[in-house]
Amino acid sequence: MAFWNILAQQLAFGIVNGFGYVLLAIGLTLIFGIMNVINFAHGEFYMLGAFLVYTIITYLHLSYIPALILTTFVVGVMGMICEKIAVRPLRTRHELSLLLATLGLSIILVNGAQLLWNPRPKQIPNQLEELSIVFGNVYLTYQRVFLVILAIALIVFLQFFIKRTTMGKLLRATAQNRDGAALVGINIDWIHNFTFGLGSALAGISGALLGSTVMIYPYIGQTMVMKAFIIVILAGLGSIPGAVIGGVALGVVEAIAAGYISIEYKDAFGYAMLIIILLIKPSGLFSTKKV
Amino acid sequence: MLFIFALIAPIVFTDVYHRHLMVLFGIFAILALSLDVSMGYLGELPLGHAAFFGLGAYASALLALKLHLPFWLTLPLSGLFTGIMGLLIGIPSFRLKGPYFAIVTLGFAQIVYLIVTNWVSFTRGPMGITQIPAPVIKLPYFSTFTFATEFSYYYIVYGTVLFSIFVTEKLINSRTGRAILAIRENEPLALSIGIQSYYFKLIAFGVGTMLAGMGGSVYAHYFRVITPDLVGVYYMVNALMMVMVGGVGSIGGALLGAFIFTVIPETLRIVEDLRLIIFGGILLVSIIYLPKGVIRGLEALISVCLTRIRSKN
Repeated sequence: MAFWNILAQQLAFGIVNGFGYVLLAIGLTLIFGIMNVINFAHGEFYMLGAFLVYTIITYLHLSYIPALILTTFVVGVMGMICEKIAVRPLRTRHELSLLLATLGLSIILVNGAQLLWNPRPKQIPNQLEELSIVFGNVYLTYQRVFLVILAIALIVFLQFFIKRTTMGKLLRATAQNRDGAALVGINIDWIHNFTFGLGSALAGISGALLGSTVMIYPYIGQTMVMKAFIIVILAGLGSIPGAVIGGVALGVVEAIAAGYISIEYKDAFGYAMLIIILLIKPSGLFSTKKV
Repeated sequence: MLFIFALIAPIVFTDVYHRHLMVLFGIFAILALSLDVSMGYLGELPLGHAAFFGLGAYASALLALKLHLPFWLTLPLSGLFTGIMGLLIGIPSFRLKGPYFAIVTLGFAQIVYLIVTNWVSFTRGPMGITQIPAPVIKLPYFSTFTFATEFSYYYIVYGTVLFSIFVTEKLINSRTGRAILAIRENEPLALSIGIQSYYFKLIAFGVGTMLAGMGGSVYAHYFRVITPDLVGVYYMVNALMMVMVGGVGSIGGALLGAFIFTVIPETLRIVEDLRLIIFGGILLVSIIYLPKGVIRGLEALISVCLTRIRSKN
């Protein structure tokens, strides 16, 4: 009986983490799908999300949910500023120059954060993390349950936003054919700016949510961006439903690996998964249909 | 002329600090040259390149300490080891293009970092490996000669840099090299005239990773202490910047980049905390404003000056 209890608990943790990863990965996949940018700084917006929530709660004494909302907006705006400085001047260049530019951006953000918040690990003070709900034999904190509910709501909202609204139509048009979209009068600069902001805000939410369940330090973004890459490659770059399945799958695989094989090498299983999938099916496991 | 200058440089500059910088420059030059083989000539972006440098250092140190092999064997063996690792990583990742390749090699670097940090019984984990022996020559009838000073070690580095330049030069100016450049310029066209791009990419990547491993080996036996940081982000960024800022796809560019990034970190010592931020800034600015690197800018400047002088005469 103990075996099944532990397995269920590990699975539950895996699914919760997985939903956090999904938000991060959707941000990355949107930026790629619409702007064709491989964003290596994506994990840094996750890190900023976590640290901003920490700062807002500690110094402005807001409670968790208003802090979360505020963080999301701030990270989104920071994303837009970064797009303007580092991505826009390179739009017509080779994709590898863009990739290197986002890497430069990532280095600046990580080390800036380290200077601002010092490298010591921190804990986000959060009341939701202190109480748990019991489902049968599985214990989950309110924070983890809240994370899953909010993530599902956001995924549904994003699907609706992209498929049904005018803004979503503009995004899809730009993703399909940038020049064609510009020709019919869509402001590409604005669309790209908006997309980068939206993607970064999603990373920020993910950081604010998942960051509450673990210790945070300025380097968390660098492992997170790799996780996001693993998910979007698993799913096929540009696919939102793929990112959902890929994210939950990665969360579960990591949880099982950490529980039964080795906790130090937890992250290595993700990378190994990435390399194996690229060997078998380089286009990703799911459709590569763009956004 | 530069070669001769480099040969007598440590005789001219006699203080230990300058000699140390020259050794450092040589090590970075090997790293930059090896990365440029993939970045400049292949047109790919291997983000895990520093991992091969670090792997070379670890392979060399462990061979020397556990099997008591001399430096003259550990240097080529660690090159061979990283070259083979490069091929093993290249086989799956060259099925992919551009960004996928960059991501997979970064994933590989992360795995290496995790292993080096966590396999404490073998690599001593975060404590690093210490007491790596300096290279020794045992001359018959004479005493043994140890390359423990900056001055003597400089010539080992110098030799390895020359070897790297020679290999890169030979690779690029051969049939293989022309095929590699053709792939960089237009892969579908290269494929259509019968160039097996997959194999040529593997060859170039294998050579690049081999040189990186040798660079790592030279590093390990100079500093005699290595830590998992060698595999980490700092060296990856450093190598990328040397190649980007110096000039992609040119041996002179890689050397110039290595020189710039040996000197800059030393001058930035006063603002230790800001160092990586400034590095990131330099990387960003150089990509946006100097996409072809400092070396191309210098070349253009020199040619303008020459034509001015000629027109005056």
